[in-house]
Amino acid sequence: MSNSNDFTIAFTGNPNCGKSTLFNALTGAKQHIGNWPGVTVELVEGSYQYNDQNYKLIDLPGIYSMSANSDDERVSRDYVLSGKANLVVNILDASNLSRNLYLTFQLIEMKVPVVVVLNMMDLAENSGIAIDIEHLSAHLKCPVIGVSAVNPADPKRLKDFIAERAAEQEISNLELRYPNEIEDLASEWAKRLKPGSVRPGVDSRWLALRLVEEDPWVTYKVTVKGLISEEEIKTGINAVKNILTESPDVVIADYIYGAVNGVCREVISRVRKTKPVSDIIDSFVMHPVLGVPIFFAVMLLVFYVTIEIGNIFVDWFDTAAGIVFVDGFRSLLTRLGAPDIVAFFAADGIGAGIQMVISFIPFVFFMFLMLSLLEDSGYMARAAFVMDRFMSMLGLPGKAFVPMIVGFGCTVPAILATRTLDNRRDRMITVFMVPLMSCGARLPVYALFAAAFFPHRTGFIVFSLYMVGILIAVLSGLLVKFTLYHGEPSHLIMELPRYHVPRAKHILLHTWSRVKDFIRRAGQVIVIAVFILSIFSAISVHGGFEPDNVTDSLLAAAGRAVAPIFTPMGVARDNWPAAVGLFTGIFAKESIVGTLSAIYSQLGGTTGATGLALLKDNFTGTGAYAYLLFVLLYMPCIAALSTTMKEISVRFGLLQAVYLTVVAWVVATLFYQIGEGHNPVFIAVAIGIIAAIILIFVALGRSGRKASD
Amino acid sequence: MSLSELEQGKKAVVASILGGRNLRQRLVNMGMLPGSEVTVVRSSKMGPMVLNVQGAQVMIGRGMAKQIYVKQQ
Repeated sequence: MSNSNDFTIAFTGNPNCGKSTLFNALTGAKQHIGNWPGVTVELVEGSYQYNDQNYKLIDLPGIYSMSANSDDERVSRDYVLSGKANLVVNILDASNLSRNLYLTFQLIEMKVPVVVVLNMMDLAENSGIAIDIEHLSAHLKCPVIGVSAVNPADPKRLKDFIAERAAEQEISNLELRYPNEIEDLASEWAKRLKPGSVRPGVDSRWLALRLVEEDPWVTYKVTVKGLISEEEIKTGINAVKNILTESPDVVIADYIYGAVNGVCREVISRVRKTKPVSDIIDSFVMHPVLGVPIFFAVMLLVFYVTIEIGNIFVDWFDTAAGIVFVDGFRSLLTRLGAPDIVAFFAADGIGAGIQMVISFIPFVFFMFLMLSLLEDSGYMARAAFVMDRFMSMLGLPGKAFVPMIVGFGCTVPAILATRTLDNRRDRMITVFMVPLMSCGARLPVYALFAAAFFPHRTGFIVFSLYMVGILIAVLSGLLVKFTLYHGEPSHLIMELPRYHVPRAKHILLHTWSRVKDFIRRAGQVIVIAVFILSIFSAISVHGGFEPDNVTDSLLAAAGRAVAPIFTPMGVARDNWPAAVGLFTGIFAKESIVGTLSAIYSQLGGTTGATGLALLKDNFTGTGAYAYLLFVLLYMPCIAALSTTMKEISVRFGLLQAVYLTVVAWVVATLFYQIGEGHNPVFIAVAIGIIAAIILIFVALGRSGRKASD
Repeated sequence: MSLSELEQGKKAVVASILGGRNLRQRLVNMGMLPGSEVTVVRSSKMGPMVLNVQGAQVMIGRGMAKQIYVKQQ
């Protein structure tokens, strides 16, 4: 695929500078999504061919600075310093030059081959700004080109520009001068940080300046290698601080802004002044009162499209995949003369797993489609503004509300939607809460039980379950916030992007590459898990292969074995199918209903009853509600668990699954025992477990903090 | 006075930033450093504020705004 003659080009720029759009314009669908090692930052790679030359493109995350204070910045800085890129393409929003040039000056200071692409020239023109590109290039001492997405000739112009510059790989010799105190210290240190002494290819002056700025990574590297001692650094910096009466990092930033403003004054001429449309829209969508209903209306639309429209396609996808991968596999293998057992595991094991992955595709597709619409239009930042005051009580940014809403449809896309959050801590708290937003698959279970046991209060019963889910989610969020992630406030600071009409090609490419990524990553785990569960349901306790005999399967045996655990929550001792239902519910929550009715009818209900009546033979009213509480709260289905494991970590996924299952038991038991069982021992045990959960989380939080110190 | 107390439409100059290096750097990266001018574009009693900084609109959480001291002009 890639060889040494390929050019590697890194794209970098501020958020909302149109970087991804340019990236898409160059690579088209030839892109691949992954993760930067060790962090949850998305790594987008793409490639194109131009004049018999291969170009490999890396889309670095959107950042405002190379200060390495966030994962996005660290990833970008590491990559630029690594020297893997033949050319660093810095993309700037031409209509917002002064803000964007800050990063450009930092990049030039890194002494890597940088070229500048002024994007959105059309927008700048529309807002009455004219930029002298040649003059800007002379100031920066690096090549500059102006492009806009509306000009059809621009992708080719950009390719020509990149081709020429990638061959030259010229480094700008622009050097910003800081106050003498900083310059003296930096040049003294730079002499001692010989090229390659910290990291091959990293400029000495750049390193010395970062050292003056008290950059943690550079300071660590320099001191650990014994190049300059910690005391010496401290003394040097304190001397500078005393003279300048300000932290060196602030002084350096001040000088960069000074240079930026100087350049802007020279190259920008304001042709006329216009009032941006954004301000008018903002006065509605960011209104302290109006903003909230507008937000909920938009969320309703997101939810409706993801779940309702998604649902229409789910049936088609599910049926088609079932015909091909389950029935198709079976008949093909049977016709080829394969033994039943092989045909079963190929069809009902692997085939059913593939079918499940495929049936999730519509949800995942519409979810990412709606998310990229929200992001691309510029509304997401406004949603964050509107919801921030509510979500900040949980220590979460306003944007975290979006995955929660999606969670009411399906947990899988909701977990994926947390990618829009900026830091890992916010993502983890949100993912922890998301499964408690009762998903669509749980609804049929509630509906059936409610119809059987509470025919006159069905709506109220179902509604109450949703409310319990939200309540437990808020309590769980507070629990993790105050224990695991205590004392790490999340800072909301971002530029408010301008609104623009979403670009269809960009959005579709964005969505499609993320759907592919989901299939590849979560898909594997789902298929394996479904396969394992199918073994348990098809192998009988007598050791034979009896796929039709559910009551004697290993799964049923497991159900019988664990059934006593559920007696405190009102599941009668002989009602082991209820436990089996919970096992199959791990496959998919809606299958609980199917399992229960299949086993109950196989056992031949004592009264010969069928359908809803069978449920009434096996549960009391209170017991049924307790069972529903358990179904609501216990571990998410395999697909959701696999997604969490892939998105956060395996350990986090397991912790969450155990936590939710234990909480489900506690809540269901308390409800049943207070309502009907009246057994003080079980009530005491449940309360004891709550206390234990809190203590465990406090301990986990302590050890986590120690490990990170 | 703290930036969070500055009313909508008012202009001020950043005097100092409380808090650690990380917070300071994030503000500096957005152009909010001592001596720079900020205008409050949008603010209500709770929730984040929208400021005009270096010619761009920047959204900032109230908790952060409380740690920034400004001098009103």
